[in-house]
Amino acid sequence: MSATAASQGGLTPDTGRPRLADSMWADTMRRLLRNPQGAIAVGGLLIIAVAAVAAPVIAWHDPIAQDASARLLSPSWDHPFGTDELRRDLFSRNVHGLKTALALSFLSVLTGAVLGTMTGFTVGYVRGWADAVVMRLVDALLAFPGLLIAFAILTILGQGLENIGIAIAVFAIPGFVRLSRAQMLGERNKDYVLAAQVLGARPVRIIFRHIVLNALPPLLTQVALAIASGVLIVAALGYFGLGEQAPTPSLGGLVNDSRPYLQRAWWYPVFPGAILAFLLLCLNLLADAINEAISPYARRTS
Amino acid sequence: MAPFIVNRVAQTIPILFLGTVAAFLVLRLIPGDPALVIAGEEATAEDLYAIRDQLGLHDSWPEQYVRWLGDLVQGDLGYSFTTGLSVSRLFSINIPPTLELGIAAYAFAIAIGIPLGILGGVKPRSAWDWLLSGYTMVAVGVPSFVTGIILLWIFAAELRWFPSLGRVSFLSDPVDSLHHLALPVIALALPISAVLARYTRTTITDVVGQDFVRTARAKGLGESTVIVRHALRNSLIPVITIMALQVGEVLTGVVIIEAVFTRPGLGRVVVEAIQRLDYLVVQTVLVVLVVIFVTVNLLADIIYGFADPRVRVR
Repeated sequence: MSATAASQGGLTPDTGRPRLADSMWADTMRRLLRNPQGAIAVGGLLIIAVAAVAAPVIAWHDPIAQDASARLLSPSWDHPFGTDELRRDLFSRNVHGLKTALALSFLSVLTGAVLGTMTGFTVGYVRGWADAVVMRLVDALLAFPGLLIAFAILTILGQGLENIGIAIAVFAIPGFVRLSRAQMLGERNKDYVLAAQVLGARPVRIIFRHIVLNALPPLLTQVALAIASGVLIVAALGYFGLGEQAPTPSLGGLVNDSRPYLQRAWWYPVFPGAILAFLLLCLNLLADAINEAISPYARRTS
Repeated sequence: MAPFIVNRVAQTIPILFLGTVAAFLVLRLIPGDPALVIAGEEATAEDLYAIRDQLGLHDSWPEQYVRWLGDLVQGDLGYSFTTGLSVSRLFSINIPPTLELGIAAYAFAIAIGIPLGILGGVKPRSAWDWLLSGYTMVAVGVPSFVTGIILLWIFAAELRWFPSLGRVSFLSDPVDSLHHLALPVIALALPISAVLARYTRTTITDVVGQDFVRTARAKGLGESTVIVRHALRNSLIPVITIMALQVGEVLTGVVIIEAVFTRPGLGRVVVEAIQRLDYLVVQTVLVVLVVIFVTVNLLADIIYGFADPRVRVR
């Protein structure tokens, strides 16, 4: 019995005893990395994350200094992504824009995920009128076009990074509430919950100690997808000039700035566009791969 | 069926109500003063007072809300704070271009996405399936404004096959109208078609693996009959829900695409109105968008109820 359990993984040699790391999480992680899509996604995101974290080191030109030898230089060794109309290095501007977009969407989605999930778990466990009220609110929020919510919040709170973060977090919350509530509804009537109730555990302990670990994995898919839409919102806001204010670079802003020079400088819109596309591709692949890792019997979806 | 429909309609009423409250509140929370925007920096206190009085801004929020909603349900949309134009006139000018773009892009996304999804799903791991995977990966990832700019660069600026901006009414000159619509429609439809294709593929592969499909094959039906009569019928029903949800993506995408291609329309109106604190215009546009989205999803639910009797019992 233990031998078959250990050989299921296939990666580690069969030692005849159960692996120590046989937890659901370790198992999911292993399946994720063994899937080519998952490996590509994790690898790609690692490269992007390193580039973002190391932005000040790997971009050897200042992103806002107007110090290149000429305007709109095509890509060269010194300026791998060329220069813009103000003689600024575009490689540096792209990398710094990437850093902001990534950090901003990651942190705010995480905040929104925690708030939304806690709400969803709670109302899914408690049910009753609180559940009804929260779910109607969520339905109403989901009916609003997300980008317009972001526009409105930025107009309300004023431009600035923290306000973009708030907009993304608010946009992410309803999805997490809905999903975590559904998870909770699926778990709350299982035997182990009943056992905990019979033993006299209080609701808070039951939810956050017993149910959460079982209900959490599908939410990871949602985290990847929500970060992807966060990146899209940051980029769109940047495109509309509502994001990082001029001279500070943003990926969406770079695409917009390139408009007058499309025919003279292909590198100006193409690099930020490609970076955004690659980042979003990796996040979508990751979501798919997590999905498959969680339910190995599910058919491959793409 | 009737109780099911009544139940679903009843569920949407609180959503619409909360939608109007949210649309109303979103702008009130802005620290700016619309009277100041209208009168300019040099306005005296009396001027500002008079303007606020005229706009009804001295009343409490509940009073303003009730008056606005009352007028709205009676079909009186009121007048824009900043331009003085009647909102219904603003709509009659700006809804047709947005409708053209939205409907064309939605139809295009469905026409591309669903057949691709079917072809990939019926024969997993075939050439069609690989084409589908490649297409969805690229199309889901590229933001629509990036696609828009790249299309503008290649097909409008370099090749000069399509005009780069503006709009021609479909009713006055259909050919020229479509010529102007082509690039914005592609940019808007691409990510939506990818989502549809991916979802269609998933439902089809699920159904094709089921027992009744094997039974159909086993009793000697031709492959095309098995797919069209048995598999497609069952697998396309869940796609209705996703199609309705994608209407939300169209409504958001329109705002971006109208800006990229400098087309007139509701998206431009709402972006400008937010910046000018034009409460009435913004809240009314928001309500219109929410009503469209909620209605489409309600219809999708009801159609689903007709197509699959199981969901009626719940």
